[in-house]
Amino acid sequence: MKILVPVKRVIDYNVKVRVKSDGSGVDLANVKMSMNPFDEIAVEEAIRLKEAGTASEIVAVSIGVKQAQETLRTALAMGADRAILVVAADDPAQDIEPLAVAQILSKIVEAEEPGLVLCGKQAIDNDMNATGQMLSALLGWSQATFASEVKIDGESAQVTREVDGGLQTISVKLPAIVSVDLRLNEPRYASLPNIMKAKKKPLDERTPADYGVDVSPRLEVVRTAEPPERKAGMMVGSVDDLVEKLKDLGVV
Amino acid sequence: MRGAKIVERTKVTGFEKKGRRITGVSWTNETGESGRIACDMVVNCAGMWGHEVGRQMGVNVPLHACEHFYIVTDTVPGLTQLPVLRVPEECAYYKEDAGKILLGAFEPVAKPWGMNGIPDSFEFDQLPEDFDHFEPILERAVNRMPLLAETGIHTFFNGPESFTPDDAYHLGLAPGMDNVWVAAGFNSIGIQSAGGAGSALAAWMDTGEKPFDLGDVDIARMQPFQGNRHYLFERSRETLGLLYADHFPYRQKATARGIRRSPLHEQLLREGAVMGELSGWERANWFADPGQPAEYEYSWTRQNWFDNAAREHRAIRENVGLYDMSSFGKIRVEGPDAEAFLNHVSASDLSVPVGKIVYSQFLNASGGIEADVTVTRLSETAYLVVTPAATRLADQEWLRRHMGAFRVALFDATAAEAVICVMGPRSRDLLRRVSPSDFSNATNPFGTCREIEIGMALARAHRVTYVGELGWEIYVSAEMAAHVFEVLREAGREMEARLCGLHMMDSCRIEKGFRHFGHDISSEDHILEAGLGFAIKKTGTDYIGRDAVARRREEGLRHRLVQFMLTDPEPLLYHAEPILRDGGSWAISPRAPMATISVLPWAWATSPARASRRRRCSTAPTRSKWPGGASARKPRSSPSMIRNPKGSKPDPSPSLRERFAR
Repeated sequence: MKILVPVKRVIDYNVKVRVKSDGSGVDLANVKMSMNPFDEIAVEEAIRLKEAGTASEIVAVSIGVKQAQETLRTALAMGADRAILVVAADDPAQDIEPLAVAQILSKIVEAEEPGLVLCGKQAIDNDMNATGQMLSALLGWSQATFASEVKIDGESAQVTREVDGGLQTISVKLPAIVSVDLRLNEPRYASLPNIMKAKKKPLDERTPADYGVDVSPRLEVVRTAEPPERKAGMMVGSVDDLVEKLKDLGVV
Repeated sequence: MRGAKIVERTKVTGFEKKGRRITGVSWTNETGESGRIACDMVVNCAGMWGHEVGRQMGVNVPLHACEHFYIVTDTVPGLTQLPVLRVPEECAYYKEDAGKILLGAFEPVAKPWGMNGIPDSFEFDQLPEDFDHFEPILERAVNRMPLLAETGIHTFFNGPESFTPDDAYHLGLAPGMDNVWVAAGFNSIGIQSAGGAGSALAAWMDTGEKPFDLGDVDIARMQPFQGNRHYLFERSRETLGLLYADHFPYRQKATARGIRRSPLHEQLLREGAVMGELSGWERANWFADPGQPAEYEYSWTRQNWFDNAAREHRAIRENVGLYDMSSFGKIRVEGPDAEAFLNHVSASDLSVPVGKIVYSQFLNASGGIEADVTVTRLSETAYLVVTPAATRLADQEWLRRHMGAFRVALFDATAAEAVICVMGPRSRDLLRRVSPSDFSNATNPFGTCREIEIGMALARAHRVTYVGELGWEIYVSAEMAAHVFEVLREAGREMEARLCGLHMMDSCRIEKGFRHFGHDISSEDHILEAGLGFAIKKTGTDYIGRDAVARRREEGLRHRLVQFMLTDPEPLLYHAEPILRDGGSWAISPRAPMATISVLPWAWATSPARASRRRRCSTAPTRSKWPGGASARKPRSSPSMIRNPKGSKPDPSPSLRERFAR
């Protein structure tokens, strides 16, 4: 079984995000970028399925700027077999929206015919949480979101989902889209020899036009702002003082 | 009030200046509060922002940020504490870090960062990784430490640090201001240096004097041009990697060269000059023979220029040589109080006739040597202070800070005049061929200067030497320097006058027993213990350091600077070699000029009980294998004369070595 894993290049989770002074977006110039952490979990799960003999090939796909190649190299270093890069923007600030991504992915799926698409539940940059679901709809495939456990069982997958009330296990018919959640696994770190070898693995470069998809934005970002500064607290001497203060503030 | 208050997350928005002092610092913080801190002193310890903050304060803090790369592995099972491993030839360091391996690099061609300024908000942050840049190091690392092939890499870290033009950090009182201090530009060794640097700076600020020799890091060593951002960008590519590169003796920087050139630069290059760089100056260190590659071949044994320098040394001893000292720092001190002012700052008597040249030291209150210069009286109200290229700014600042109410003006005349040295027993013959002026002992004795005609130009002939008599330093207005050089060079051909470089000079001056400031002597060394008591005025006005000189005379010397002659000519001495007596560490080693042709190393001698304090000294190494088999110990044929304030007669002892031997 072939597994397709879409990965996104996002601002590194460790970096302090700076909003541009004009509010038009966040500053990406000379900022450390990495693979979306949920996508790393998806890559890891695919590798484990391959190591277990369940999967035969892992294809990583990224849609974005040319530099997303680095993100694909990371997936290849971890253990993906080959990669497809769809260069859909020149400007790193241009986000390719979920629908366009899902449309391109659907065309790639049609060409590659994977048995499973494993994707992160959402990207940490814009938190859309939509691509997997849209892809499922476009393909008419089953979907299982927020996976914390994935078992392939012949023609179907048993997926445990993290829901508000606890864990829910569902069975979906393959081929399927599975979006993965935080607790599915702990992704491995690539070793230096594997990072170096990854440079030699095949990476196929495409454009949206190859798939007949228009990636121009449909959403308008009105404003980007930093979260409000947390205000300093105050120390109170006793519970009575606390209650008094809360009353003064009209909270209780 | 004792103690200190640390205010975090607060931005400096401006400085209030009053003359050469900063009187207040204004600030603002994230909550919008702002204020002003009145201050007696300010320390710029703004790290890689230090250059920009320095500009705001009006002081020059030359440093540039560079990207610095390291990786941290995933947890390695069973890994326990390990020593830090440095592999200089692979540009890498390794250390155990909480059960993981941290591997970092100081690669030969670094990536400068922050050319357009470093954002205010860049703190504890990182830059994009650059695997391709780091990969050559990593490939060798996998070979060096095979477990790196098995282990996942947890973190690729790229964080900027600041680097200075000479790879030494900046400490001390900033030139141009009287209460602005600097501690910045730590070249990736900030953590290991912090304790000592903090202690030294605190002591300096508290007492007003350096607690020990800090010449290598004193911010006053930095030339104004070194604040140029393009220069810093180019140089910082190299300095990061130099942290781990082999520091061969005489290794020259490869980047940011050719900035300060003597008027003779092109002429010297055409004659085979091999340049070295000091404080931005390009200076001929030695001359390649026709057909010989005009470049250094570095090694820890005798380098390729050794025989060239030996021939140059021999020319100075036995015939005549020409060399360019245009890089001398030249400070003019002028005004109605020039004589009184210099008598106050200098330990020497400068109430001398016009035309007199005086070898002199400026002392600190402890009698330590702050500057080692010659002072020439040009007129009733004008003096020329000549100092090595590296110390011009420091010396001028020293003068400026002690100016008080004296009516004098100081200015840097370095670029105004070139200096062509004509040295050797036949130097007078050569000058007579190109000049009708009188160079006789009667008219132009040692330690005097006269205006002369030379070729079709005018110049000043200073009868003074750093390589031993006989010889002159010809001070010539910069635009006429090329002409004067041509004339001397042409006339010198018939006499086989040789072009010489600074390796020759270092060799000759050690042989002669002349000290070199910053190497043999420093602010830490008492003038009497350095053997320079002869330069101190016998009578006259008070001067800085006078009490310390009197006290030392009374209490006796604690140390002496002495020279040793090696019986074995082969070992090359470079820096801080210990000297053993009776099997125990007795005196300390050389601290300065690395290889020379001479066999006379310097050392600071002290009693065994004090040996631990004296961890340094001057040096000199080696001896030459003279063409023809003569040894460096062969008695010199040239007359010897020490720089002497009364220098009209030769010093009876050819060198201080012999003086101390008595």
